[in-house]
Amino acid sequence: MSALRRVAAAWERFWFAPESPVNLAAARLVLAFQAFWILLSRDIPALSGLPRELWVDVAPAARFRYLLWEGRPGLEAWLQTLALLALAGVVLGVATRACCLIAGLLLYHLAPLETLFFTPSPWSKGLTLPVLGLLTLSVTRCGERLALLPSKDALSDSEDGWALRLVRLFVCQQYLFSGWAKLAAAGWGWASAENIRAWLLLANLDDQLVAFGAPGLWLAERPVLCLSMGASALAFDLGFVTALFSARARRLLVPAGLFFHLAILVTLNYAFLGAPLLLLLVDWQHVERRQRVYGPSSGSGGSSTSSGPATGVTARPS
Amino acid sequence: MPGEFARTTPRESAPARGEIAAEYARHREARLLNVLGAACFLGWLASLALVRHAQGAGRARRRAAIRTLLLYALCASFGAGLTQRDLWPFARWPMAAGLADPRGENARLLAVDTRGIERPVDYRAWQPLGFDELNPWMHRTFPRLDPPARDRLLQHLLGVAERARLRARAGAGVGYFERYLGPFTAPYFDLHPKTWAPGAGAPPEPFVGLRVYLESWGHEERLRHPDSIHRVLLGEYPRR
Repeated sequence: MSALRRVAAAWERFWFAPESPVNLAAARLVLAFQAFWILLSRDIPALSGLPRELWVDVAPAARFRYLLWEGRPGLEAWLQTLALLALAGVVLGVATRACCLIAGLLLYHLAPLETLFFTPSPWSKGLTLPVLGLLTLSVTRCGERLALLPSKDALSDSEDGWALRLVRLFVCQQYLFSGWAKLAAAGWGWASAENIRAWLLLANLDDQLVAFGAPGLWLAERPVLCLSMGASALAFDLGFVTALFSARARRLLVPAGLFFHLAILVTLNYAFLGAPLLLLLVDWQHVERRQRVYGPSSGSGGSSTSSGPATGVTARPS
Repeated sequence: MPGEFARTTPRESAPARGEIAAEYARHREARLLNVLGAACFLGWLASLALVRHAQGAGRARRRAAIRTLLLYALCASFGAGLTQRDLWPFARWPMAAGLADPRGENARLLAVDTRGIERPVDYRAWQPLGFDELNPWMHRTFPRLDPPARDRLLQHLLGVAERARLRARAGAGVGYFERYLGPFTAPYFDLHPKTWAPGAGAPPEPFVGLRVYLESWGHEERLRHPDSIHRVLLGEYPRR
């Protein structure tokens, strides 16, 4: 077999491997709840009503790119309400594909409004992956499980596993590109004790940007810890992508990721709003199976329709 | 607050020719990235539509459409990430990238009350504006506005801050982002100290003016001497 064929076979095995519909449905819920969380924590439509002076740096191309123009807070409020209704449909599992598509498109329009007067990329605002994820799920059967009105398509279980893997790839890319950005901008010296100390001082000396000052300044005085912090951050960023390929790595890296973000929060005062999306890497089928085995209804014999084989694929009721 | 800073100097204006050329190049690249970003997103939608269209077709055709979508997603996302050119929603994720500058710089907005005292404004008072965008915008773009535009903007911000002060004094909370989710409201990307509290914890006197300063410092120096900050007045309303 030629190398090209082997690569093609590996590609097919990876993307089209069987996947639990529970995991796909859970991805739908995680993405929708993340979008709810951000939209309900802000007032994005009101930003359309900012004074004209604040929009002076917004390029015409950026306005056309997102179809955003100032002075339309009423329209944006209406669109946000529509987005929230679509997200409710996604959560409840009602007309799931259409709701994923509408929510994804509206979030693509609304999310940049939060930062547009300063930058056209709202990458750090928590809606990047919901846009990509919901649009990806809009062409899948993610509404078959954990839904009020389950979709009834005739496709086999294995067909939509690619979508969950693609969404997980987007999650992993947050870390991979973050690591790559560090190397591209500063080389391996990014992880040096001097640079980490400088980052800690940068993030902990400006009284306007400090909620937790003491842990970061304490660390900054300890070169060995600074070096460890830099090396482990770089290793985590570049190594996180293994979570895409290995269930064992996911079990280790998801809690490690939560710890990583907590550590960054208290030492650098950065709250990474994409942290809850680590839940996309959890094997919910496994959790559900364990609940069925150890839960209160374990003796009721209710597992006949969904305790799947070792591959984690759930047998669907016919 | 005013006596807390060692040096306060007025800012010199008129950017140099090199700065103008750099600004022009920055605008040109921004325009190109916006066009590329839009094209990338439209391509993504087209590849999704391809999969949707193939749903009623046979397995082979559907898989071919999915493969096209996957290849497109890989090219777009890795293209943005590896070249470090943001094509949002295909982002480059530049978290804490680069070597940290040994010097820090930030804008600071201070309200002036009826007694002429400068008061810090809580970061939540600017809502719906995010402090994380407003402050760097003040640093980057505000100095380039002409004086009447600066006045209009500062007048608007003064109104926002005063309304927030009144609301906080009435005990209704500082800012309003917590209106739905309370303590579970998403934090800002950069954490900030809460300088006001509802009720007596908010400034008592009405705000009648606003000043914008640019502060800069050396980290090592500020670590030893917290007051060693160089401060430049970027603008104020009303103008003296």
